[in-house]
Amino acid sequence: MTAGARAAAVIDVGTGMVVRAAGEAGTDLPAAAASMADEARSATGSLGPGRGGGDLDEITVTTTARIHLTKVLEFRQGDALLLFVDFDRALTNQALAGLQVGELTPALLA
Amino acid sequence: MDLPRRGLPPTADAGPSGQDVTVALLGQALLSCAADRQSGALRVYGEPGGTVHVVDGGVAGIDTPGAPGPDVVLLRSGRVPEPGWQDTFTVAAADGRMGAELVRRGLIGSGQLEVVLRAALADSIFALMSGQVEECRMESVAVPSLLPLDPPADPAWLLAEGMRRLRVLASMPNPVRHDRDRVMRGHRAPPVGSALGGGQDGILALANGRRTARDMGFALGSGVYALTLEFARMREAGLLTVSSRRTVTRESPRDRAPAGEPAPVSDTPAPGAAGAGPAGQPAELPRRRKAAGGQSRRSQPGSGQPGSSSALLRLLRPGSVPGPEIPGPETGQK
Amino acid sequence: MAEDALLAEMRSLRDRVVGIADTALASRDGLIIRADTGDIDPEYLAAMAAAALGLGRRMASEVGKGALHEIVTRSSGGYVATYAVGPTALLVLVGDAGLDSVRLHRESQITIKNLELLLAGDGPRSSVAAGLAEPSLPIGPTTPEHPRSAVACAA
Repeated sequence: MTAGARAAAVIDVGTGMVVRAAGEAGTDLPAAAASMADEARSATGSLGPGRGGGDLDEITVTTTARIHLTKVLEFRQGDALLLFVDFDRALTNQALAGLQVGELTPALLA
Repeated sequence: MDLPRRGLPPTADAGPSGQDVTVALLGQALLSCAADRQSGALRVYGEPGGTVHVVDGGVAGIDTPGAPGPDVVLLRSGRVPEPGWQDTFTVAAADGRMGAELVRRGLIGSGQLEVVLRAALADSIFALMSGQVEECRMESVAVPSLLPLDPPADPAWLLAEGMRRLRVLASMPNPVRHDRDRVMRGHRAPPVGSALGGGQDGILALANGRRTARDMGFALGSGVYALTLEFARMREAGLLTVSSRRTVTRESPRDRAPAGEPAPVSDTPAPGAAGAGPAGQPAELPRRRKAAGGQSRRSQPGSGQPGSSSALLRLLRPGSVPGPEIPGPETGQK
Repeated sequence: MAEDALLAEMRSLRDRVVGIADTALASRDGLIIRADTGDIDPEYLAAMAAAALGLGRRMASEVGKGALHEIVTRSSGGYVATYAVGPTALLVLVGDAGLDSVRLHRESQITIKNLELLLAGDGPRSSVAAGLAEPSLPIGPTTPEHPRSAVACAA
């Protein structure tokens, strides 16, 4: 059981496109997806390869009601995929959310 | 050399109306195929034009000169090495089993392949929608898709993604035209010794003033839309500049040869019979046999596959198609 | 300097047909007349095209299928197509995997006809025709913006 997960999507960074999606209707996934793709790209630019800190792994955005976790699934030159999960903050916490998403990711792109 | 213009204004110059017609023609044709569960080859006449392979009303593949198909993407990007590709092709292409065989040989994961196929479809629909469409005509399949998406994509989803991309580009103050603007290295050289992210090194190596984003897509095995966005960013950073523009002329119906012309080498539209409908009116699609009854395989997410411990995982595994509306509350909850 | 009509014609073909990367106009023995190329060596391209055209014409004639239209080499990454231009010249073009071959068939006819007329001296560049007829005269200059599109001197 993925506690508190409201919606999830696999996102292509280069285009901001939602490749696969699941979850509650009403979450505006395409817009969130395109935003997260931009975030991941900026983060890579300021933190990633060439800066000595290794590759981008994960971004977490927390609001009063939600935890938005974005995990890098795959990163090749100019070609990256993200898993974006929208959690209800009342039903989980950051550590648990991170753990659960971490468990999911290897199986997603078998 | 200027070809005489038809009544239809060119997409780039006439603001919304030319593009509206293009999107409407293509959208109507695809949604009509979907409603009737048609199968066949939807020929799209225009610039770049192309062929949409429709299976039971869903989109299984698109061939267009405007964007690289999944075969070009897999090969040119180096994702699948050429010898492996050739061996697979020899064994499986004729039976339409190319995708399954690539996965079986461990040349690519099935989830990864699905992503590549979807991304290529989205890129191709973007190429079609951002160009000019004069007519869509359903024809019987000549050469089926080499790497069909199975189950095929929901046309509504595909069209929505195409529209999204058009909107993103339309909202940019100074967009790069993927089919016209040829790019050259800019006045700013990248700092020595830095590895640029986002494939920028590959782009700069090919930026000799002769290639558009579309050309570079075919050369690199990259999506055209993604390259367009990257070009815009690099131009902003002074790394790229637009050095020349391709002047696109319009095809008029009398340019087409009469029916009976032998099949061309590629899958781009064959010259059809003269006498296309009046500009702006979609051609009437011939009725095809209805698909045998049964559930639509297009828009069902996660129908009861065993083995996954998480409801979310089940929903996100290969084959769960995102539709225009996100499916109802099946997310695992405590 | 007056616009180079031959090069303009070749460039127009590249604009009209999606997927053409490079073009070169050469004599039947493989000497460059004009080239609109990027990273490809135009002289090498022209020499090979001339050989291919010669062989192709013999093949076509052997099997008795009429006049040769085009020779195409098709690879996983693209195409090379060669056409006869009048009795004395050839046009070779290199395309990528997305070459719009349908449009190419149509548009190349127009271009070949125009190039033929220009070379025959019906256009403004009658010196080019003279250059071809008498190999000792140097062939005209090429555009400065493509230094690789070097033009061979006949003499």
